[in-house]
Amino acid sequence: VTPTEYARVKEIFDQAVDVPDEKRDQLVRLCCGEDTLIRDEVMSLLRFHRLGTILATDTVDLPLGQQKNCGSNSRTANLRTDGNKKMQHDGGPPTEHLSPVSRVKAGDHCQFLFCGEK
Amino acid sequence: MNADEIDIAKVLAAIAEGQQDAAEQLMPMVYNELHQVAERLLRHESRGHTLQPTALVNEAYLRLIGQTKVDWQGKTHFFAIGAKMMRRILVDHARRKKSQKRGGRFHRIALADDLCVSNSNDEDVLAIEEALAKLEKLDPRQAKIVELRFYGGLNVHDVAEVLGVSKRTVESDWTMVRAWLRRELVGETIR
Repeated sequence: VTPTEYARVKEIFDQAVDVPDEKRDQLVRLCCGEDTLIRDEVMSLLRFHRLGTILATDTVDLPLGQQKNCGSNSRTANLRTDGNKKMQHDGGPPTEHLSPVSRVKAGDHCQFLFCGEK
Repeated sequence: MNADEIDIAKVLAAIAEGQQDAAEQLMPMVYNELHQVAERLLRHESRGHTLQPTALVNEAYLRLIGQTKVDWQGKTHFFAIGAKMMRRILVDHARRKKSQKRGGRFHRIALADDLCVSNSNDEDVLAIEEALAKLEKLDPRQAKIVELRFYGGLNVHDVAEVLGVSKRTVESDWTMVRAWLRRELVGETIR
């Protein structure tokens, strides 16, 4: 797709993820009309849409308690985080104990670096 | 250039005020600092030392900033520069290692549900770099978001601050770009 087409895809994808699954197809078809390239691209991306993060060290995509960390459903059994500390999830100025870097001590999460098959 | 020659706090304040050219002053210094620490750690990789890019940026920040107080906006902008520099360092390193291995072709078996990428994994770094080169042509802002999150460890709020857009905008972009990356990295395309 071209950047212009991609922008259109983005616009429709953005609307589609906010509606229930069963209504997405209808919405996408309505928005795309006869443009099958845009429609197929949006539908393809929607098939890869998940709420969880894809960053191995990231825990801030979802509100606290709903976080799906990488490894929870995969081979990375040795996942370790400092679960006793509060994790920042909704922004606000980073502070020393909440910033994404300082909440992990050096060497703390070496075990969950290899999520893909090596 | 060393830390004594420019007032980092002032430069960060200038960047926070929107003077993007001020970032140019900091980049060589941040790069040198990060590169030194990264090289030292990367040399010891085989002995079980693992590079933590975001921790590295934090370390560089603390070393360069010294005891000077800066506001959190300054710190965020420092991390944005750090992300860009770490991307360069890690991609160079991963490419060097790949060229040293025979047939070191990237392949991934993970399913989309399981997929997660780490900036400490050479194969992930190269795969993300390849995807980013493509994404930069399609949507530069989305590519920037990936750079800031993957290499800089910034959260959505901080990315919004750096890019000067709303948190909602970053969240929308990030939602889509996650789907796009999953598709790119897992390998299914409609083309």
